[in-house]
Amino acid sequence: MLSAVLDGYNGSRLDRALTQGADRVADDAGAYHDFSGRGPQIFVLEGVPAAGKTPEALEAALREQVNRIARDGISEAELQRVKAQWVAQAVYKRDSLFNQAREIGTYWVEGLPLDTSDRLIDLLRGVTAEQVKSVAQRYFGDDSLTVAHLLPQPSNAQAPRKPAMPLRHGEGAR
Amino acid sequence: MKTTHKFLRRLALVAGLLSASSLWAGLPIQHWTAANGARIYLVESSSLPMVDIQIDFDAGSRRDPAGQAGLASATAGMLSKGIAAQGNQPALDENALGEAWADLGALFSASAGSDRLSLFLRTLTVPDLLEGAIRLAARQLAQPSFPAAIWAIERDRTVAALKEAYTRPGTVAQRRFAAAVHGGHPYGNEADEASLSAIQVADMRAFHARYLDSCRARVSVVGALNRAQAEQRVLQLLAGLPASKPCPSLPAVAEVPALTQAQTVRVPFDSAQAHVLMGQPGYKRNDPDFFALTVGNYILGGGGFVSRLTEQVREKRGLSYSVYSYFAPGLHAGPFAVGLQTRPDQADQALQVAREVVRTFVAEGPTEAELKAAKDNLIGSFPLRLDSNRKLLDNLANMAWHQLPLDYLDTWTQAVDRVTVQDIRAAFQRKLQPERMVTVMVGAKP
Repeated sequence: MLSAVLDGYNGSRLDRALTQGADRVADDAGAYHDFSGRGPQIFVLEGVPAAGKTPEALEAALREQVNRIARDGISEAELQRVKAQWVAQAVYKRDSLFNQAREIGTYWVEGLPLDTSDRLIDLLRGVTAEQVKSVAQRYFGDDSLTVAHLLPQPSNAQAPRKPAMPLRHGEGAR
Repeated sequence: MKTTHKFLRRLALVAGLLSASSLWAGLPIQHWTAANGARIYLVESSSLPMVDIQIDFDAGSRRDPAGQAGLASATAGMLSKGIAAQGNQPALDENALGEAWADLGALFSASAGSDRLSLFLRTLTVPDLLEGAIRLAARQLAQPSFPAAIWAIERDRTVAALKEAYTRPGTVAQRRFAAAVHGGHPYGNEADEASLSAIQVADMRAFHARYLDSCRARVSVVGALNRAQAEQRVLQLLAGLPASKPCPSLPAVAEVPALTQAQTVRVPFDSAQAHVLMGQPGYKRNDPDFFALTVGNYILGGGGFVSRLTEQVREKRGLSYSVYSYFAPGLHAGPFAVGLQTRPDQADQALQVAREVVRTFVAEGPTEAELKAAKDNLIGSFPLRLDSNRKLLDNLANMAWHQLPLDYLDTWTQAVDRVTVQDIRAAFQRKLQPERMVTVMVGAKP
């Protein structure tokens, strides 16, 4: 729900706050969450800085969007909008036989019941705005944070390469 | 790898048998022309409470004016960036539009390919959601506001995305190849910073006004609507557009010129893999050789692990992970291309092998055994081309666009089965000239 409120539709929070207007911080921004898996899943916030904006400014802007929800919560309209999309998606995805098979197989591998899809929709329907605010407060601490920057490299063999920036993993400072 | 492949084939076979039982009787395609001139194609499918609708106009990038490559795509993209007020209906900006679509749980998109500007709508058929989605799509189609400030930002973002794309050798190869193969034809024109900066919102308004006319719309519908409901909804969707009578014909677009000589383009690029593309103009979609070329290309380089190119370049010599060939026919002769990626120092060797495979195939055609295997695969996997509403819609829109006969899908497997070795050899010799192809090599190191 949190990732959908941030980036689930055109005009969602990341679009409005990061990629619009002449002084936008990003040309592109997104949020996603791997829904299920055999191990811990990650929540990703990502973006491409606009011309003249630094990766640090973009990172701060992405974090601010999560902080805002942690602080102020989300609106009832946002909650209902995301639920309407899910209910429709539950119908649309049945259009593909292959995807149905893959979904069932995935749940099986993950040790989940084969009717997980239906159960999920019921659970998602019950999510409250308060719960979304709560996960925004609880899961985004620096102790479990990894930040990566991909810097453009010259395509010309003669030009000097910039040194790659080392990945900073869970340092707490970021 | 081999085991996975076999497993997938077996899976495909089982799925094919399952869906074949419901499709074998023939597809009930309904087709008629509405009073506004729109040609409508419908397959009723009531198993899910949803409908997919595609509307195609002759407004693809082949209609981009000189110096404004990207206008068709930009116009399509800006359809989602706001609609103007009309009567008692308020204007909606891009965010209000995005929210409105999300609230409906419906999907609406517009895009431009080489031939067509396509609008796609997917919605539930629950009455109030369907009504809301059709109304919103109709407004978006007829009353786009084309806000200049938003276009300025979209242009910047597109240019930024292009610059990012140029850092990928595959993009560089594809663009150089398209330009070299099409010899100035619009099929080879790709948007760049200069062409995008020459596009203003006034150009989009003019493009929209000129090309989006109901009289030229091809509308494909698959889902839980009967004929009367489909007609009503299509008329509602198109109500805000002009419906000219008689329908003014659009200027013809020149054909893709044949290549007169071989050409090799080498682009230095510091990449881990060299990207190689080789090809020439192919054929038009209405060409009577379509089936011979489709089956033949499966054998040459379309069939993945069983193709001749894969056998020679990958299996025998280990030069490439992937090597393929394709035709992309449209209203004009879209490209024939052979593509591969390989270690930079092996690029010339891999190219020589690929060239020899193409030359031999054009000269001699396939063997009977290859032909049988190709037919088995294409005919056996045919039901998988139609096993969802979305895929059916793609096929229907293709039939609508190229005015294929209504039994096209019903007779598809028979047409494949009739192809002979001689047909393929003759068709390839008519279409391909291995001695006059364009070769693009990006990142190769001799």
